[in-house]
Amino acid sequence: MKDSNISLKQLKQDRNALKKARDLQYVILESIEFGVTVQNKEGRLIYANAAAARLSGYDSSLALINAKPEQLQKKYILFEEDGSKVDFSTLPGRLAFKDGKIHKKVVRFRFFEQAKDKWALVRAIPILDQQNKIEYIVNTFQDVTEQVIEEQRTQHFISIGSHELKTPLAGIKVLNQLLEKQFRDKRYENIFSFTAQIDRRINELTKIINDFLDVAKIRVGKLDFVPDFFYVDEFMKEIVKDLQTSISTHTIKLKCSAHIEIFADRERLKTSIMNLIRNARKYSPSANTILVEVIAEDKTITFQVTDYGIGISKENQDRIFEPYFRVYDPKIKKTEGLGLGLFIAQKVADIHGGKMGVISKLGKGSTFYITIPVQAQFMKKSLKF
Amino acid sequence: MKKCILIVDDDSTILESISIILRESGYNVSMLPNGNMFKKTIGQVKPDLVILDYLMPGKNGDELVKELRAMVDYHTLPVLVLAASQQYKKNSLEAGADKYMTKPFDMYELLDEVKRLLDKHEKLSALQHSG
Repeated sequence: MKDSNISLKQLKQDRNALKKARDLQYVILESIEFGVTVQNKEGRLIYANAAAARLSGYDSSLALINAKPEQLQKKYILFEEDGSKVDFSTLPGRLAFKDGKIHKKVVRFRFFEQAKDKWALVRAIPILDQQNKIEYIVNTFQDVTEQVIEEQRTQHFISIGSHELKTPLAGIKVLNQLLEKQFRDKRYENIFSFTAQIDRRINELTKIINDFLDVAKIRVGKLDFVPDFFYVDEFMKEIVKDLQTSISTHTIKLKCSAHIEIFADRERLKTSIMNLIRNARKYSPSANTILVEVIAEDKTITFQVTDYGIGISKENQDRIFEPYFRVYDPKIKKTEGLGLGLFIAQKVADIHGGKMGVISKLGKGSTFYITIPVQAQFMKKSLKF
Repeated sequence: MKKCILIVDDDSTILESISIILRESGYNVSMLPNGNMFKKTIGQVKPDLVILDYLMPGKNGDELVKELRAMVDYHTLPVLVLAASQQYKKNSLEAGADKYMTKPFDMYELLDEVKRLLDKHEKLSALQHSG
């Protein structure tokens, strides 16, 4: 009697321990960011955790489990990492069912409801029974979108960076060799033209290096911010005067009646507005005017640059603020610029507590604007993004 | 008779600098800032060698080489492609370029290469005619 009491008590304890362990497993599975699904030996989905549902575009695990294959196919299409169509027989789950081994693969998901693609590292682990036959397949899905995008950016950076850095360097090298030759031949007629070109090339390189450094600072949240008091009208006149000397193809029209003193990072704002004006010239090769306006409101001031050029498609309007993104158009000089100007300018607007945006129509032109508070919210010297 | 070299580059510094060096070395030089008028210019100036930048607005260097190779009489015209990195080398050579140089380049090496390609082309032409 005593023994059976002990065993009953033991049984209860064991059952509670088991329940606790199962509850704990459930909590862990439901809280991790990895998607986990389990298929039975017939290939039917019998379990999916919350992350798996989320990654597949479903609100709940049950909705994913009950979804029919054709419904899933309406949610998204699968691609290989390089963008080619996925051959379903190469998916890890299929392969694991076939040979009873662990398989993994990076798969690109394109959801019909969302504009952006997602990448996931998919792993399939077969669970074998005592006869070594497949009983279950456990699938895990790790969202690797960030890593893939970062890798693409690095590739892009290497490609663009090498061109943008080496082109001015090539100019400097060849001009330097020409200078040397002129001196050796004791002929001095072109010397000042060569030194002026070398100077221009060095300025280009300096700008590119500064942009790279700014992007590195933005990445670690250390974009420096040095505000000062200055009058917007004087500031804008200086910018337009500076740029008009190097832009002969377009007339820069300035509309600024506001004699307002603002407190902002003069240098960063200047670089950003100059970039917008240079872009306006670059993307309006058939036009001859660029309109620069300053609009003063109660507490904000807006700097606006309008061109009458090729415009930007809706799709590209979302992407132009991404680092290294450039709009390709056969009419535009494709070897110019890193594609960092707008990305940096937007961050400059952010550190002022302001915003930046674009209004554009294909074939008509674009208006870029930076709106900042008259007295920038400069609580911190550097802000993290 | 002076040999004629056509240079196509959207970078005005490179375009002008190379043309100065080549002229001073005894060549006639024609220049184009992009590939838009490439075929027409080839027909007009009938160059003995072409120097092409790879990355340009409109058509790239490899596309221009393909255009050139498709033209009658220009299957063997020496072509030298310039680019900032090695990444376009395969495309350029496969399109039919004879030589690929990366920027920044040494102008004396460029001159040597131009001379070498012209000599080789001349010898090959002589062989063809004698054969």
